[in-house]
Amino acid sequence: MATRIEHRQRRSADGGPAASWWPDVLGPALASSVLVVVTMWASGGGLHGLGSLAAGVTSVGRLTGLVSADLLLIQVLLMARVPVLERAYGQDRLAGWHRRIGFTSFTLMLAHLVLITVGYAQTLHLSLLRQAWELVANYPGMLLAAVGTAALVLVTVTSIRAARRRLRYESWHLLHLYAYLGVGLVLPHQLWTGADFLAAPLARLYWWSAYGGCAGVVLACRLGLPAWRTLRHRIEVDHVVAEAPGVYSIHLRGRRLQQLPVRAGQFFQWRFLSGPGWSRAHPYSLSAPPGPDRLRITVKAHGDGGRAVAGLRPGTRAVIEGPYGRLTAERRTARRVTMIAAGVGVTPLRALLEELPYAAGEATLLYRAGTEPEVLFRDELDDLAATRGVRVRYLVGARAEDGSWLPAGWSSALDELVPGVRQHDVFVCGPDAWMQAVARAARQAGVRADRIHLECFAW
Amino acid sequence: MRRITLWLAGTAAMIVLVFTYRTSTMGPVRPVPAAAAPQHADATTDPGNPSPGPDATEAAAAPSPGTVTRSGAVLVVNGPAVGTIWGPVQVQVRIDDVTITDVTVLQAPGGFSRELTALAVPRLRAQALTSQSARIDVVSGATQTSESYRTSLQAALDTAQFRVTP
Repeated sequence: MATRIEHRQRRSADGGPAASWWPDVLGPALASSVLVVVTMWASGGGLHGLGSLAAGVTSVGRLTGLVSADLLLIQVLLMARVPVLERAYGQDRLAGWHRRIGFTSFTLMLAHLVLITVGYAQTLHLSLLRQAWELVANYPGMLLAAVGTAALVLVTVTSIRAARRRLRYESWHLLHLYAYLGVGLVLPHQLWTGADFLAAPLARLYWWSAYGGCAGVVLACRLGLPAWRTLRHRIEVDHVVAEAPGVYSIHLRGRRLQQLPVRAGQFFQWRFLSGPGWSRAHPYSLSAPPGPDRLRITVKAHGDGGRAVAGLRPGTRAVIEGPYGRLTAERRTARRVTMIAAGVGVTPLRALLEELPYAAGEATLLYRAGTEPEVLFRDELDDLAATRGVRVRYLVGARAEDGSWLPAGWSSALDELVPGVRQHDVFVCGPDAWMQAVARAARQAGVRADRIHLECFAW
Repeated sequence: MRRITLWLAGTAAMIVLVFTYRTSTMGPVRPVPAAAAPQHADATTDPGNPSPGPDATEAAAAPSPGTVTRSGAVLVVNGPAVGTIWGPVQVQVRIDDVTITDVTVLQAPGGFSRELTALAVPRLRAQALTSQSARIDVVSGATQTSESYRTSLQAALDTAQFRVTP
């Protein structure tokens, strides 16, 4: 399975594209949406309720519920594959925020449940259990909300790292889709029992636009755009070439590909309509710059999907989502570049090497492989070395045991392998832990953090 | 693939089942006449309150404030609807010569506040009858309902030109 995106929180080493104002917008936008919600709560009498204990607990319970709902929508939006967000931040960082905001929203939701139950029970002089039962059984939309909450609990619990590691990615991802169900099912109780919804027309307007906008963006970006691009470009398998043991290049053809906004270094989520298992999407990077009617991806065949890919027949149609990823020429800030790849991670860098402009001697590729036969694209890399002056260096050998990014027995610093690397842009692609080791080595060699470009991939 | 189909079918069945429950499609609780509160009004003096059950979702048209009936010494006056954040409160007062004999609630908020109303209204009414005025202490936990009740009652008494007789 090549280049799988891990939805994990991590500090990405890369900065945004220079001189873009986008990254500065998101934080204030998030903060102001929370501020709007708090203001609406306060102007709806939220502070008024703080006078007595029971009413105060209820009032704070409402506030936690409202902020939780607001954050819930925000974190859905962050992972909605909105092209402008993807380009500005990259999926790995968005996934990190999605995770943090999601857990915050979940915590507030739990607080909301407890506070509302306690507040109502105090006011009405009922026991907590009795009150909880009354709420679920008799209040409008509350059974739906309870089921929605269960869905959100399922999603959150399976995303706690220990649980996440025990699940196959596909199972986890399917379970994660229950979040949409959860968000949808908790909506009615907000509309029907929420004092803040019922009271002010402005509040109603805000929440309806927030929910409507969010649903619209998700439908457009996660279903509409992929469906439109799939139908418009009609990408299908042209032929499959074995590159190395277990590694295959899939050559694809399609229509009007020059109008598909994809660049070297990016990936699509691929579904090949070749029989059972088609419903699972696989993230594969382009391994050559996109042509007007041609694309190429290169895939390491392990896992069910990988094996199926090896046997693809010409003419098999592909459903695409994307392009995603920001490991592109846009990120370049320096004249000289160093690419550091491991295994099948060479694919996006190989494509980038062809697309990027540079003079002879300005580009270097360090290519880490376990054994000689595993080296991919040797002819193409030799060709790039001859025609473009790329300096290619193969780092072949067994994995080091000390967590080094170099083969066992090597101990060179990065600036010994690539003199002057501190002035370079460094693009890295490979397994996750390995990329972290490379990023450390690059920082030790004096490369500025905003010149280290990697996206969070894992095999 | 088979497991996914099972999951999908199970999920769909679950959702359909949940939506058959009455609270899942009942819509918002609009301000309803406080049927839960004890009332002593009879049909002739209470034209704006057509037998709402606890599940009534349609609000009765708000009775207009002002004098409703005057027969001999008995005067029935509606107060105005006074808003809380959960919905309006409106009372009707019945005055027999110089005595407040009854205060009934024509409308009160629904939702959570319906239960608050059930809790607060009997105590508010008792205070009004005892003090023979709108000088009523706020029922704790139902501040807004109490205050709106008081305002509506005071306005009704003003309309009736009712003064506390010492």
